[in-house]
Amino acid sequence: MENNLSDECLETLRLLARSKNVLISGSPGTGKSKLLAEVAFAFETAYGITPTGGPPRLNPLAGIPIPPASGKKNENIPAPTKNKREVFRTVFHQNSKYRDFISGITPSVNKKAGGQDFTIVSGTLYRASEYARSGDGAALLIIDEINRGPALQIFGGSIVAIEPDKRLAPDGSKRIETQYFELLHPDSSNIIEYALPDDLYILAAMNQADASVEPLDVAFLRRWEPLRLEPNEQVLRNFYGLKAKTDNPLPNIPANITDALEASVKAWVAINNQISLGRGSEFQIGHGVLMSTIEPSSLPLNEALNLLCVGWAKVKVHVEEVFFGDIRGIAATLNALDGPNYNPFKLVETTFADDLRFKLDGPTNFTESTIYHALRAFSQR
Amino acid sequence: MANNNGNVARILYKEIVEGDLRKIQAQSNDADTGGGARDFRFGSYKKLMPAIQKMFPKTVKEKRKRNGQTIQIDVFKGKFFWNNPEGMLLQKDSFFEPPTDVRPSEGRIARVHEYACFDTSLIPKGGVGNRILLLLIQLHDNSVWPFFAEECTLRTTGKWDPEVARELLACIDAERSVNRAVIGYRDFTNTDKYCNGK
Repeated sequence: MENNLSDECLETLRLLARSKNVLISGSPGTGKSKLLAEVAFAFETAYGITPTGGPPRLNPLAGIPIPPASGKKNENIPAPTKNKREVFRTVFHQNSKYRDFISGITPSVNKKAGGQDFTIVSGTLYRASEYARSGDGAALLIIDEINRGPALQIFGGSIVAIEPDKRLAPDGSKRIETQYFELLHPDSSNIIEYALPDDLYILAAMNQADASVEPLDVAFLRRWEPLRLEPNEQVLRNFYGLKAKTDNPLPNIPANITDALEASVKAWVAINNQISLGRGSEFQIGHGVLMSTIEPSSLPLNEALNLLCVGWAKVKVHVEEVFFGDIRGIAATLNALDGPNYNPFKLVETTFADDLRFKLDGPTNFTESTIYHALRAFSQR
Repeated sequence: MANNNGNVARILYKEIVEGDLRKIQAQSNDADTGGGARDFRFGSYKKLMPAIQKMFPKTVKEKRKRNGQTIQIDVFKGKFFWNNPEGMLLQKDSFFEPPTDVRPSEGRIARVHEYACFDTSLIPKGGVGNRILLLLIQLHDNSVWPFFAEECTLRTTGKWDPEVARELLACIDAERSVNRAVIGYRDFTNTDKYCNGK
């Protein structure tokens, strides 16, 4: 049961149960989207999260054959006693609005003759909140790319009300600390005071190192329990079917598929070390960029090398983006400054208008014949 | 139970409809209910196969008449366990027959009148808003236990394990044609599940 869920998923569920608002951050390819999907599945189906922390058990002599297990209530899962569980999803972007998230006025499309020209829409947070306010309901609101839109504007007055101790009581009643905010009520069209329910959980994800993101201020961030995902070498090794890392040098020519995959892991680790030094650890590239639905260990060597070309093309683009305008940074990351002579990439000096200039010579795309040498060179430090 | 673990591995469930009751009480032999055989019919046969094969893991050859000719077919075989009213543990070989040409999507548990666990006196009286489900509950020790469940008890918080109640109610409440019986399974050892509604 619970063993089928990843450790990160169980940790996220535990944090949601404790703090109600969880913010996942991590470099691209560290598994944020996969984790969001896993938590959504676990929350909605209650897969592996029974209220007592144990699987269903048969009691053949009881009137009800599978009664609730007795025992201590599991505090590590959100809304353990609620049977109606729903996941609501949204993705923030530059054009996301308060109206889309809470409520607001929008033109009526395809209105009937004589009908209203405008209508009041229910935003994602409002709909999730209303679901969780129903008697047996619990809602998980997932916000992906939370820092790609103007988050503070989108949350508006609800930003204080999302705090766990500012919610309504579990039975829906008002507490002394309950924080109300005003919203345009979609049903009555009146401005009403509104508070968020206890069993509304918000799970957001962001990548701090992308170019088109909005800064999140400290006041916003402190309302979330952080969960950081890091690039994980062991996950990549497991995907490749490799054993624990070794210090054995890579051969000049790959004798088998294991040599090629080992080169990929070592090169990826070395590239991330260089990115961390040159730009900061948040700019690293995650293990997911080299993973796909195809298991490379099951392929012939030439096909595996071609598959590596696909993943490594993305790594190279990432490096070029991270060090945009810094040709020496790119060269250093690809070990092309004073790297081994078999590195297909070389930093060369040239002149422009009598000024010294640098350019990076090398193949535009990785190929089956160049990829191994490139990876071996990247990994040599 | 072969051991005292009791952890549920999977549940195969099917709504008991009026036709099922008439068949088990030997009161019908009409085509609507699948002839005179005393069996419980399971539509969505192919979708239920992952659960059926685990609950009836062996196959035996049986002779059947098809189009006037006697042929041999593979019948799935397992074992049902139940307690009699005195609490004594009983068991009996169980059989699940594949579909016939006439009803290609229906498999069936055969000769249900021979099993005390399917005694009609054990079947709760259902009605509108209170459907009755036949549950085949398989444990981690692979034993399979037939039970009946009333919808109203499933909807009563605290009576059933909430994960089981949630699963069964979700399928009961799913949209389907009015004349379709609720059928599905849920495997608690992995993510496998099926419900014949949307």
